[in-house]
Amino acid sequence: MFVHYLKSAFRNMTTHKAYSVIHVTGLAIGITACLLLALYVADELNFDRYHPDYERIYRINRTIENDMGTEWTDRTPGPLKQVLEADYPQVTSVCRFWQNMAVVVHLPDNNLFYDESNHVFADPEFFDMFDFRFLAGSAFLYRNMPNALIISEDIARQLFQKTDIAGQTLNINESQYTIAGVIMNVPHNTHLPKFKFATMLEDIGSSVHYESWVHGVGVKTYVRLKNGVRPEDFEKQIGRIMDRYASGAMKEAGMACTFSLQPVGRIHLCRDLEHPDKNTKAARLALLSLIALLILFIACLNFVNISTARATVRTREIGIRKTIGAQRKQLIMQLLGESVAVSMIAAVIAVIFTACLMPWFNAFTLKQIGVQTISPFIIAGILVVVVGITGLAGGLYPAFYLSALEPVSLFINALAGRKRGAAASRFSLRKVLVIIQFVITCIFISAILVISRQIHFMKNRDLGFNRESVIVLPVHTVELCRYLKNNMQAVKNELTAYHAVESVTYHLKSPGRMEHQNDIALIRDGREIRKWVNMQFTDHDFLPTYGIPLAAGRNFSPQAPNSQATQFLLNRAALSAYGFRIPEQAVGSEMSIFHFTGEVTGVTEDFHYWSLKYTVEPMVLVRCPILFPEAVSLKIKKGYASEAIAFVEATLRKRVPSQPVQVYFLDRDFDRVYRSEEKTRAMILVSAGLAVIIACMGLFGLVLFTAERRTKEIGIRKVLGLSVPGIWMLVVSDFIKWIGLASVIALPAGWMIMRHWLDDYACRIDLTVWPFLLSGLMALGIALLTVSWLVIRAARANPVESLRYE
Amino acid sequence: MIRLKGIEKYYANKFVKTWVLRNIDLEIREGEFVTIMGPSGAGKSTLLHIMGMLDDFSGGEYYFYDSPVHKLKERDRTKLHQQHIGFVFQQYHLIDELTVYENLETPLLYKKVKGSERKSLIADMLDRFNIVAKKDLFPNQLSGGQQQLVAVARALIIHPRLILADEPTGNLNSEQGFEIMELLKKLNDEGTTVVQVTHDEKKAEYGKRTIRLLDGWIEKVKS
Repeated sequence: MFVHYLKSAFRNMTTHKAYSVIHVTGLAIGITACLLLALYVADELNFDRYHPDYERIYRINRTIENDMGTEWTDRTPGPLKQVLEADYPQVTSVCRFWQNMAVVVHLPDNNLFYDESNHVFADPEFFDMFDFRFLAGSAFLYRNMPNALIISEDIARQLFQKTDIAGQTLNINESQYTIAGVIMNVPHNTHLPKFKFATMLEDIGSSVHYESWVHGVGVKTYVRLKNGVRPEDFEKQIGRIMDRYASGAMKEAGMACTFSLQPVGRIHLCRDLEHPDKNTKAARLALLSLIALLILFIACLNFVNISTARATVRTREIGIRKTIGAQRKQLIMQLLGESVAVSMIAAVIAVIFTACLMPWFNAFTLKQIGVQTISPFIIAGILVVVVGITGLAGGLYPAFYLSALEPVSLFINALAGRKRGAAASRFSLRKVLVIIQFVITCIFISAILVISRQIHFMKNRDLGFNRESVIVLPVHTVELCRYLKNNMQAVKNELTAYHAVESVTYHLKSPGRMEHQNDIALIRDGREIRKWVNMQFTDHDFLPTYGIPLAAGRNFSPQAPNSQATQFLLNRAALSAYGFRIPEQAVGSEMSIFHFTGEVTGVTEDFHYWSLKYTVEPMVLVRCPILFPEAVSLKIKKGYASEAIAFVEATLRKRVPSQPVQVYFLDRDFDRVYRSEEKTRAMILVSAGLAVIIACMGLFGLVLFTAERRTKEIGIRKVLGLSVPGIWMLVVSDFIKWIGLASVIALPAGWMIMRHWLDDYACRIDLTVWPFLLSGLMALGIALLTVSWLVIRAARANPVESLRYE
Repeated sequence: MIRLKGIEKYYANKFVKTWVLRNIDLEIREGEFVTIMGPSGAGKSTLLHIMGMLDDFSGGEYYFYDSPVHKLKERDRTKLHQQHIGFVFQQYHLIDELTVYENLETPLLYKKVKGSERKSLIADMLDRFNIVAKKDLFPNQLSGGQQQLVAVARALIIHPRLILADEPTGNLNSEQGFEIMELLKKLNDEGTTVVQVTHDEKKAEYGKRTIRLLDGWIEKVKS
């Protein structure tokens, strides 16, 4: 019996090849998209779960309270380690690390090798607690060798062309190190820095002050607890540890600290240290899951749709089977079984698709997802559920509806299809399914249109400063920074002397890169107002270089910042943050940062320092003796960019030969702040593409079916003299109505979704009706293209052929 | 074998009842060869379908042997017809996706006949109808007459007590048609009850009794 069903199903598929291909690949594409997105989400949820005993590893976070408010941080004082190791037997291991800026390697042949990735200073326990695979050397060597260094596999291959190099030496940041180990590159699915160099924490240098309980930036501390220790209990015990060891210094600094634990497996998802239990990535993951489900949903609708369409073609066969003695149960089994078998084939193809697409997907998401990411049981589970649901849903209608009919009515249906036309058009499940598919497709298309317009808008909007014709030289290394600090005026003079350079300014990070924030006080009417604001250390050339206009007062004085007292400039947002209404009021007020005090010389118009997603934030420009430049910006004469770049690079190489120099264009660099929007757009673009393909396949299948069913009608009408375009209108007008209805439904839904998305943006486009109308038209266009060639083919057939059968 | 009492059939369409069969009383005894005749739309095929339990009727009583068909559930009706009735259609109604062999096998599968027995039954049938050479062909590779031969073979393979033939020769040329009629006559001689619907007076003469239908009424019974 089984063999019989199998044969009949197989032959049915091969006789209707076009149907079968659409039927199977449509579902396969849907499952593939769903699998890929499921892998993505699973990968996000599994960050840092590959470390042995990850459930027992916790990061120690710190809450600092002082008179300025509360700060949440993952930086902890260095001495914490010794105390935990000595006094807390619940702890099996403690490790600390700190990450630094770039690394400069001096190669034996006097060349420089420069890498912008992280260099970590880490305790030896770091390599025991977290899962790093050693290709050469070991954590033991690292612990016991003087000047030990661990490098990553790719650095080893780049510098030595091999990995078994333990014991060799390397000159990093002008110190000599011995390689104690080579580790495999840090995998993508960890929150730990993707470092390529690691040296002992003690090598960090004095600037970090990690040995102090109260002063200094602090380091990151992780503990592994003994089996069975409850983290809540342990957290209570260590919460106020600093009161015991540093109460005096804390009182002096006017602060209180509390420690808390964050499980290592949740760090990636819960970035908000103020609410360490809140999953900050949840919304994005939920959106992705929703998209995955929608695509799968469309694909399933499609499958059901085509299944039912095909089943009506098979009514004759079902009728025959009934007359020769098939029981209803047997027919239901056959039809359901066939449907499940087809969806199983689709699942197998989907798995093959997924495997083929994996490298591309990994390149796109910057992940290394592989078979190990999800257990095969979960994938199998997903597939079984999908196959089960679609297979059964696709089979239910034919199985139960058709098998219940009297066999005679099945013949009548097959022989004179039009006779039941009235009933068939009342039965509108298929129509509803197609409409739902196109609603979803329209929403996807309109989302792309809106997101693209918003990105375009943000990229081209006036930011309040000039970003074309500005190039930036980032200062990556301490040595370069020190050199520039000591030769500020000389370097500036040499650069501005060149004809293509209009102005040069020193400052901290350039716009679009990480901002510096600090607590800055302003004295008003004898009262001190303290605010946590964005700040930029710079000089008097900042405003001209960036073309930021003054609203009141004057620019900084032109002398080098080293030589003169501190001065401040506020933007309008900062002005209102400090409680002023009119710019002139603020000019001349006294402000202070750290122990530098000076006057406010002027107020600038507002300018964006970051993505237009956010409103203009308060920004204080500070001209201050402790400007350690993190970047140099140059305004270039139009049309002379490449000459200027060549000149700047040559000049600095000549002056500081041991340091890497590479400039970038500000406008291109600034666009990086929209990377997350670009990613969302790409994701939705792919999803929309898939949705369109699947929906069109569904439509194609339906039209194929309609055209076949209406062959006779078309034949008769042709005999009566209807032209090919007339026939086209006859069949297509239905579809136009459906898709029109779909876009009408999609409009408010898409509007609400995009309204919600745009609400996150401080600067946003006005939502007009156009993207939604356009999406409807595009869907219609795509649909008509699909439909038309099939209809025209049917219309041009010889009517004698189509009528003869009856 | 079959007793119909006041069988009625109509299609209700909003407010109009379209009558197909009216007050049909009919008895068919085991071993008979009955012909149903009448013009188009007289209800011949509907009557045949009702006898074959392929269609519902709107009123009246139907006894097959002693089972009251009008009271039976679908499952039991299917069982009755699976056991006793073979159907032959004007359009042959073979399953296009199955070979001759498989078409013959299908009713046996539904009856859950064992594999070895199935093989011998099919082999017998193929022999008897002289279509052994055609067993692996698909219906569209056969002529109309051959297809009808297979259809008759398929109807006979379950050894039915009753054969219902709906214009079995309607689509055949005269030579093929008479072959099929001879076959039905032979089956009837061997004891199978046959009811056929036809337009053709000549074919009607194979029957031992003719029932004429007009507009759903039985006109007269000629014996």
